[in-house]
Formats: sequence, structure tokens, C-alpha cells
Amino acid sequence: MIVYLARRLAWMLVVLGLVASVTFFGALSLGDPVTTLAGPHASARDRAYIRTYYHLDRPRLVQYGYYMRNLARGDLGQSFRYHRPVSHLVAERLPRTMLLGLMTLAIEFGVGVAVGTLAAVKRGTRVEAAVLGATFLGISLPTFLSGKLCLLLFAYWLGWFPIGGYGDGLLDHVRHGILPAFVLGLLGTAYEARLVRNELVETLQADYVRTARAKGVGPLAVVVKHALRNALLPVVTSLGLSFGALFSGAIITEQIFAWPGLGRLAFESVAGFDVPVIMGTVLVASTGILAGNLLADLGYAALDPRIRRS
Amino acid sequence: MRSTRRAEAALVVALSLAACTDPHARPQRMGAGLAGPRRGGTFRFAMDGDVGTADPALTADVTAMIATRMLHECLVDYSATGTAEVIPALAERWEVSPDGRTYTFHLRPTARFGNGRAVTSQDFVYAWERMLNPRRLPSPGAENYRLIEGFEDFREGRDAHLRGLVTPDARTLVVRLSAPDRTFLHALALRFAAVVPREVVEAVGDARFGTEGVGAGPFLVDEWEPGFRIVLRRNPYYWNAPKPYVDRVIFEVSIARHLQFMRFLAGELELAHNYSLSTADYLWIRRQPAWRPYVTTTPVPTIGAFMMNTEMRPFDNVHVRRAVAFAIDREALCRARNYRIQPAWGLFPPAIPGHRDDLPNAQRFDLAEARREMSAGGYPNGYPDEVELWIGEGESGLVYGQLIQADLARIGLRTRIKQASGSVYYASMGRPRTVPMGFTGWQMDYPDPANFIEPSFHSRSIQPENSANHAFYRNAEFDRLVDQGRVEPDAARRIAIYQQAEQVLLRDAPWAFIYNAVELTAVQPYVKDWSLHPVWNYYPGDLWLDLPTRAWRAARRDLARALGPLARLATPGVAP
Repeated sequence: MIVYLARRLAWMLVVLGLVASVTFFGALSLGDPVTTLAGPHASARDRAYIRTYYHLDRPRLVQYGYYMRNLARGDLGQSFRYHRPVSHLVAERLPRTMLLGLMTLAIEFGVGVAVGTLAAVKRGTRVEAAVLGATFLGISLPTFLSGKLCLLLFAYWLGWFPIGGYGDGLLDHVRHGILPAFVLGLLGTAYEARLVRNELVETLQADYVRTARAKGVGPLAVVVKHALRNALLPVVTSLGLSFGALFSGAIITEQIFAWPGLGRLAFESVAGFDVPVIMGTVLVASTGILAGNLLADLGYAALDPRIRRS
Repeated sequence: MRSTRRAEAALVVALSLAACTDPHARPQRMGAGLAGPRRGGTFRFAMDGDVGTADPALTADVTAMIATRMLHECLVDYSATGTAEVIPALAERWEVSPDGRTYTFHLRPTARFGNGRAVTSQDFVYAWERMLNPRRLPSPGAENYRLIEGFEDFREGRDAHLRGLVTPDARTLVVRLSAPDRTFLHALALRFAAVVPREVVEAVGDARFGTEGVGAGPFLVDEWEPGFRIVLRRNPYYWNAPKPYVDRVIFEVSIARHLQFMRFLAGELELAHNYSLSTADYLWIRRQPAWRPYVTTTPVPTIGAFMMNTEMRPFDNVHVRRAVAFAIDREALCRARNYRIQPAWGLFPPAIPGHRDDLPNAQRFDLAEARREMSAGGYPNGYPDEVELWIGEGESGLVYGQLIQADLARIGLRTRIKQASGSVYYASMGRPRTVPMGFTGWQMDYPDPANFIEPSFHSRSIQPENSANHAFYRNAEFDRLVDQGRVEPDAARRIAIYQQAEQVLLRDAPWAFIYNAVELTAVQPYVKDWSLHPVWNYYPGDLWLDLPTRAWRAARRDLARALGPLARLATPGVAP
């Protein structure tokens, strides 16, 4: 297990190095950051000074060398726009995106499993049809549309939720986060619900379930204790993988709901050519995705003794 | 089955009804009707961008400028209404020597920083040397001060101090210029030249000073929550007491446009502006009778134009350029943009000295004249090749591009639209022989004709990279007039010189002038004395809030008790 973990972690570093390199050249090829830094009206000489100040006058490869050296030391560089270390900016935003992510995962898992189980148990009824219909909608609606629709309906018209923003204090953050988390988790919830339903429908026909029933185990206990535990295996994997989708989804959702997290920082850094921040957010998101995959594999092992042994 | 259908029908009806009766079609809260101006309250507004820093030496974008203006103060400022005039701020008065090269400023005795310390002339020297030292800060505005004596030596590190700045005493600052310049006072009103408290800068360091928010401006930073909001409180030491009237300002940043407008209508923001309104919202709020008294439209001093590169075919031919200027139907463009813009026929927008409503030789929409010019240019049957027409990103650019493409086709100029992202667009425009024609314009730094005419058209502005003169236009006569305007001491004569230069531009047509922007702002009914600042846009330093005081609420309760249900009719719309 330890060898496996060490090998996975080493691969993570290799992948992150590749991501950093590709993003570095990709971000710099977007355009000239000095244009954004200096504003449209700066003189040629002011631009030249700014270029020197940020070492943008050096050859690309030299800049790349500096960047990778600093990265190896754990230094993400200094933001062009905020004139502050990128690590500080990320540290401010990451907990906010984590909160949104946790709420989203909770909704995906909680609602997904509950609804999926309901559909499996009520197989062949209108309930199942309704669940399948709703999940179809959840999977096909793009976030920018569902986000604005939810905002308009639940926040602006009905006034049940705040109209975007972040609020003051943890409870208020959670209150502000419900609607964006719901929208961000819409696709995941729908997917999980379908997954749970399909798995459960199969599991409920398995021999050991029949045996359990024959032994006189109650219907609720059969589903929850016996069938669901096995049906949840693929759900754990997909939750781990959806970690990555969370980061990319957060870019749009945070924008729609004015949630001041990492996604919005990434969006703004691209719009403002803030290359160090683009690099920083991409690296943090990549680490999140890789860590999510690793956790999913470890979780799988924890749930299934056969995998643990192999 | 029938009951399901009935439920479905009921749902459709309910949703349609909800859609028809917007709960926010009228303001949530009216003014208390108190006599003012009075102090107190919180003014909340939002922008879609974030403020990276409010360090006055570094701010170059619109959003950051709004924050910087609230926090920092200069020697001089701009009047809030009409044509923006330079008015005294921290300097109560100044003298200019007859040769126009020495400015002597006298600071107000009441000039103080937010920490209570008096502002001295040495503070200005410190602030300006900090801003102009390229090894310390990468200021994008330094070149505005290139005429201060010793500028080059200081920038290159040959001198430790700026020779042209002298402080005979704590309240007098003498600035010596290497050449006279009548726009110098404008440079001093730009926030790059704001004074900063040395002890604060040195205590927190240059990097953190940008969010520290202690200056001599009307507000101080209470809380700076990055990417979220900046909470400001009234500076009790502000020189221009009793202003500002509001106790707190909450400046929300990175709030998408759709959210800003919803929040404004829900009463969570006091101001909605151009950056809050989609075209649909713009049209909607103008139609709402209940909102109409609180909506104002103001022409803003920007010029939108269509650039023709004078070094590239066919625009190296002045007749083709003139033909294009005659061929564009400005009115159609304004209509297509729902009149968020108004037609322009010359360079200087309204509110800029030099603007003329009766502009001689103004550009106009005249197809016959356009065709005559094409013939005079040697293309009676149209230009044989297809020309690239560049537009920037965004929806409005595409609308303009397509309309102009159709206009130009009518005079035999076939174009191919090329859309590029903002940075690629501007980088390409600034490179010689790259963009034959495209949209350009000017958003002013300061309200003076020099700022409109010099960066975009003087041959000095032509550079191998990032040329500000996008048309690569050169005309010796024009350059001479512009240089003369910069040093002319007599104000009226100076304006006349710039108008003469504008005539040269109209004749040579490197740009077809198209529109001036119009800005719509809406405020909550209790926001009083609000106006769009011609230079600082959204500036809450002059307004006050007509909100119920405790005594007012008590009186209203008593009245309600006495009148019963009639009380609601007496003061409609006021939230309890």
C-alpha cells in the first residue's frame, strides 16, 4: 500500500510539472501582460520600465527557468495585478471554494443517493419516471443557464436565498452557498442519482438480497444495510472524479453567483493576463483533481476488501 | 389524469402571472423627505471587475480608479458638474510664473491624512519620488510628469532626488518644469500624483500599501476583502468637511452585471450604472414609470471612431478615407445600440473644452459625397480588393462591424470582418502595417483637448510597438498646431488652436468619428445630490442619503397611531 501511494504521489509531481510547463507557455502566448498592466494609455517608456520590473524583457526560456526554480521552492510568484504573492491570493480564496465544494459534494451525495434509491425502490412507478426525467434535465442543463434561472426564480422572485455574494460569518456563508452549491452540483446529483438507481436495481435482484429477505430482514434494512452498501462503490469513484469537474464548474458558478473563490480568481486572472495567478490557480486546481482521483481510489479500497487485498 | 392537467395549467398560469408582475418594478424604499444635506448612512455600489490595488501610483483601470479616488487626494481636483474644471483640493491656491515653467502651490492648513497627521509639502515630494522611481514601483503614469526638471536623471538613477521639486516650507511646494506645459495641472489632478503618508507606507511596505487605504481622501479603508468587497468609512480629517456625508461606503467588486442589477432592484445597492445594465435592463428601467425620476442619462466624454491606417492601401489615399467617413450611417449605429451612444461628427465630445455643436466641415452621412470621393481617389467602380475590418471582442463590436461592412459595400469597398480578443486587438492596432481598418476611440485621462488629440494623432505617438497613433497618421502642420496648443498661455487662444487642429483631422480623416457614449445611472430614491462625475464616474463623496432618522421614525409611528390605516397612504412606499 505504501509503495503504491509513493508511486502515485511521484506521478502526481510529474503531471504537475507538465501542467506547469504547458500553462506557462500557454498563458504567455495569450498576449502581452504589459498591455493590461500599464493600461491603454501608458507611454512606450513606461511600458519598457514595467517590462523590466517584471523581468518580461528576458527570453521566454529564461523566464521559464526562473519560474520552475521558484516553483520548486514553493514560491508561486507575485501577481501582476494585485502586487501580492500568488500564494496569499490562493490561500484567501481556496477555503471559500472548498466550502462551496464540500456543500456541493454533500448535495451530490445526499440528494443523489436518496433520489436514486427512491427511484430504484419505486421501480416502474411514476416516481421513477419523474426522477429519471428530472435527472435528464439536470444532466442536460448547462450551468450558465441553470445558474441564472435558479438565481432569478429562488433569489430574485421568491426571495428565499440571497442574490449572490458571500455574506458575513460561517452560517451566512453557508446560506449564501446553498444556491450556487445546488447549481454546481446539479449535474453531479443527477448523475449520482442515475448511477445509484441502476446499481441498486441490479443489487436488489442479487441472491444475497433474496436470502436476506428470506431471513426476514425488513424492507428498509434490506435496502440500506445490504444492497446500498454495494451499490455505493461506483458512487464513491464518481464523487472522487467529480472533484475535477467541481473546479472547472466553479469558474462559471462562482462568476454567476459572485462567490469570491478560486474559480473567480482564475477567471479574472485570464481576463487580466495575470500570468502568475493563472499559473497558480491552474496548479492548485490540478493538485485538487489529482488528489480527488487518489482519494477515490483509496476510498474504493476502503469499501471493497477485494481491492484492498490486491 | 384530468387533475394532473389541471395542475399543469394552474402552474403555467401562476408562472406567467409571476413573470408579468415583477416584484421590483418600483423602488423598495423612498426618501424620508428630510432637509439636507445630512450626514449618515451607507452607500453601496458594485462593479464587475476587481480592484487589484488602490495604490495611487499603480492604478490604471476604471474599477481601481474609483477606489483610488475615494481614498486619495491630490493638490488639485475636478469640479463635479458641467465642463470639468481644475479646482483647488489640498492646495488652496497656486501661482504660475510668467514663463509657465514654475508652479508654486500653497497647501491648506486643514490638509490632513486619515491618521490625523498634517499633510506637508515634503509628503508630496516623497509620494512623487516613490511613484517615479522605476526600480521601486512600476507606475504606468510616470510619463505624465516627464517635464518636471530632473525627471530623466531621477528615473535613470543618476540623481537621488527630483531636482524640480523644492519645499521652501512645510506648506509650500514649488515645481519647476523643463518646458512650459498648460496641461500640467491636469497631470497633478490624476491620482498618480496623490499624496501618501510616508510613515504608513514604510510601516506596511509598498506591496501592502495598496490595500491599506490610508490617504488624505474622503474615505478610509475599514475592511478590504479581496475579490469580494471594500468597506470604507468616512475620513474624519478630510479637508473638505462636512463632506463626505455618508458614514460608510461598501464597494462590492467582481459582481457580475446581472447580479448588480437584481441587487439594485431588490434595494441591496444604492446605484446602478452602465456596468450594471445589459441592454435589456437598460430598456426595461427606462420604461418603468416608478423608476423614471431616479434615472439619469449623461453623455460621457469618450469618442468612438473608425480608424483607417494611413500607411496601408487603400487608406493611404485621403479620398478613400474621406469616402469612408461620409459612408457610415451613424444614426443607424446608434439605433442598433438602443441609443446607449449618440452620433459624433468631430473629435471633441460634449463637456470637453473645444467641442462645437456648429462644427465647420463636420463629418456627415452623405452617400453621394462618399461616392464622389471614391471617384476622386481613383476608384469610381469601387476598390478591387477585399479589406480586413477589425473588431474587438464583444457583442456591440460585432453589431458595429456588420453595419459598417454594409455601409462600405455601398461605396464599393468590400470588407472581411476579423474579430480578435481585446489584447490581441490592441497589440495589433499598435503595430505598423497590421490593421488596415478597425474600431478605436479614446476614453480620456483628463478633460482637456490635448488629451484627445495628442496621443492618437501626433506623429510622436507613432512607435514600432504599441503605437498609440493607430492610424499612423503624420502631418507636420497638425503636429505644429498641437505643440503650440500645449504651451499657449491664453486659454481662449489655446482652444482655438485645438479647434484648428481638429479641422485638419476632419480634412485628412484618419478616423471617421462615430459616437459619444451615453451613460445611464439609476439611484435609489433616497440618494440625493447624485451626479455622474465627469472624470471619476461613480464618486460618492458629494451625495447624501435621505434616510429616516430615529426621531423621524418615532414621529411616523405616532402619526400611524393617530391615523390608523390612513398612514400608509400618507407615506407610500416607505419600508417600515
